[in-house]
Amino acid sequence: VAKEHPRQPLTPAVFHILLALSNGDLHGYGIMKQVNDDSERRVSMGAGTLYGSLKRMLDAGLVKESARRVDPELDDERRIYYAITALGKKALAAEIERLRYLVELSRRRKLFPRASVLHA
Amino acid sequence: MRDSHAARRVYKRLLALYPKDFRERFGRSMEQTFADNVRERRDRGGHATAFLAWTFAETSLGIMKERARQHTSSVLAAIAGFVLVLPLMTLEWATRSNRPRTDFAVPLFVFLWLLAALFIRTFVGVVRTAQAMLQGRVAVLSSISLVPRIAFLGLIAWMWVSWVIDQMPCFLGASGC
Repeated sequence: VAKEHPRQPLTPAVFHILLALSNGDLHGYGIMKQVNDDSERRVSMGAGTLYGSLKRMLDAGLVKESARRVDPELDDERRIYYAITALGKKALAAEIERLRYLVELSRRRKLFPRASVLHA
Repeated sequence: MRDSHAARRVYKRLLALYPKDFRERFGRSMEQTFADNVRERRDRGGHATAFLAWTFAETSLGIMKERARQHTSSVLAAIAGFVLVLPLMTLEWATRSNRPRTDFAVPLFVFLWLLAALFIRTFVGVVRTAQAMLQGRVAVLSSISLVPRIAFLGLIAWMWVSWVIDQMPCFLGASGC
């Protein structure tokens, strides 16, 4: 069955930022920590990559600045929080679907050793 | 403690190398994020040298990327401007035998090209600001800057079209140009 392919793939940085924000509004440092946790410390995102990606994501309407300003732990009013938009959620869902399709395809072609053992 | 203050000062200077609009939009947040990371490392009691080296290198790369992106739009505007002027240049070249004087009006075409590139560059900026305004990403006060930019666009368009209309007989090979 021909599957409908989602649009353009997201870059790993954009995907991880959207994934981090799907958990709630975060400031820059919060996003970095969340990405680090989500990837089990496999992805370390620097400020250059993070803010460069955020700029393009804000311009594309994938994220927006949140009204929230104060971190109860860090208590600093200067922090800018970011929130995922409806378009961002859509893009994230499409990317997850694209990845799911690729994993399925890899399994069918037995390119995924663990899965092929499990499904044998 | 003193070391972390010095690192923050150096990092702030590094951030000054970002393009102005990027720096104004994210500079303070980046400083804050850097301070948070430094504090986290300090609280953990680990060595910050590797982290600092990586952060400075990664941010420097980010600066280069942003600078390259900024120039990309100018280069694209220059190419688009050239494409606009190209038919006029072709016309001038094709009808050159009709004129007694055979020299090519290079300054005129350079002027028309630069004017067209400036129009496109400004137009893209206006469209981006308008989009940001419609999406609520730009304060209404900032959007006021659109008015002089749109007026400037009108002036460039008027100059360009007037010049082309004025020079059209010459492009078409009229004598006495």
